[in-house]
Amino acid sequence: MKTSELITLLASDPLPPDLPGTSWYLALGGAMVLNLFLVIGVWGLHADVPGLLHSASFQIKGLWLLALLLCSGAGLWRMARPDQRGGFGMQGIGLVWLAMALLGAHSLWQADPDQRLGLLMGQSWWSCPLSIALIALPWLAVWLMYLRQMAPTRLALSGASAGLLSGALATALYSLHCSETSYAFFSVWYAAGMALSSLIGALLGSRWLRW
Amino acid sequence: MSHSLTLIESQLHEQWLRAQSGESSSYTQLLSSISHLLRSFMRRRMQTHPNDVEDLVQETLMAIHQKRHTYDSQQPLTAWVFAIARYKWIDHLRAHGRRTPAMEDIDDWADVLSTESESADCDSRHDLSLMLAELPEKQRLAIEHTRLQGLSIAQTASLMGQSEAAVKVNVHRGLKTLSQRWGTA
Repeated sequence: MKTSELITLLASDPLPPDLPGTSWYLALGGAMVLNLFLVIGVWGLHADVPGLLHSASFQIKGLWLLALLLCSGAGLWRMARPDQRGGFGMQGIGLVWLAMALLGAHSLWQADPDQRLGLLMGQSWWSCPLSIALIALPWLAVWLMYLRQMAPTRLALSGASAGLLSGALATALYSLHCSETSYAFFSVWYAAGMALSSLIGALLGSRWLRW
Repeated sequence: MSHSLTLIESQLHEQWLRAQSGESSSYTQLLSSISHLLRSFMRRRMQTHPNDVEDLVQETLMAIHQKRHTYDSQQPLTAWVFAIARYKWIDHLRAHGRRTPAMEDIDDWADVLSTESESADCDSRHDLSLMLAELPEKQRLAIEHTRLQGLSIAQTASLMGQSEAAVKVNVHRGLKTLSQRWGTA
């Protein structure tokens, strides 16, 4: 076909742009329901939810996760558009993580030397990152779906930012189960869970996001 | 941004806004202006595979059409267009990179090369027969039999009814005459 013919065809073509449609919103809702089911039904809520909500460690963690959500969400929004660079989203993620790492380092420095290992490893250092990565999977499916309807040009990086946003959402829900209270733990093992989810996102993204 | 690109940007952006308001003729106009930009973009990058340029232009035009909701009209349109073009170009290289390496396998060209060498061979044989025709009969036949047809001195001698020594002398003289006339071949 000649290019001029193609142009005429495109101009007369009522083909709707593939905007995130109804099916995507359904998937988003589905991921939310599935996540709540996993955290409440499978992992189980924290024994003392009202007490948890009032604890300083939970509130700071909540703020931290909110900041991560905003930064990774902004990063994903930019990644989905071909003419946008990574911008502040990516640097913001680093800064937010650094803030928690500093809090953790401070708490380790203040603690007795024989308590430091306990603060860092907690009770669940191995199950926490795996749980976060697992709970993040439904979210990851949703955000990869979103990216497929957009126009990402750096596929692995786009997948990674979808994975990070999913990881942050999963962590927020997982917090309702988790009984860890140490900042050092959050900055290492929560971050490891989100990094794992980002890695899965990058691997899937480089294969599934071609357009 | 250079002056001409600023001019192109403002023209295209205006066409885009008009096309968004539902004028399909300005959308046609916009796509055809974009196709010119894309053609020179791809031509510059696909110099070794000029046949793929038009395919890439069309591929990019379709992507632009299909992904037009990812463009924010506050941003420069050309930046968005070229970002998509760059993606399509790199995607093309990834998909076809392995199929056509920078180094061609010479076996793939066996047909072409052998045809060429055959005709060159014919030419040289033709030239040689012209050169030999200028030699005396005995010298010419001695050279043809021993050097071109691959007969031995003894066979040539019996064929021509001469002594082996005479055949050798004739070959030698003939070659000497040829090399004097045609240089140090």
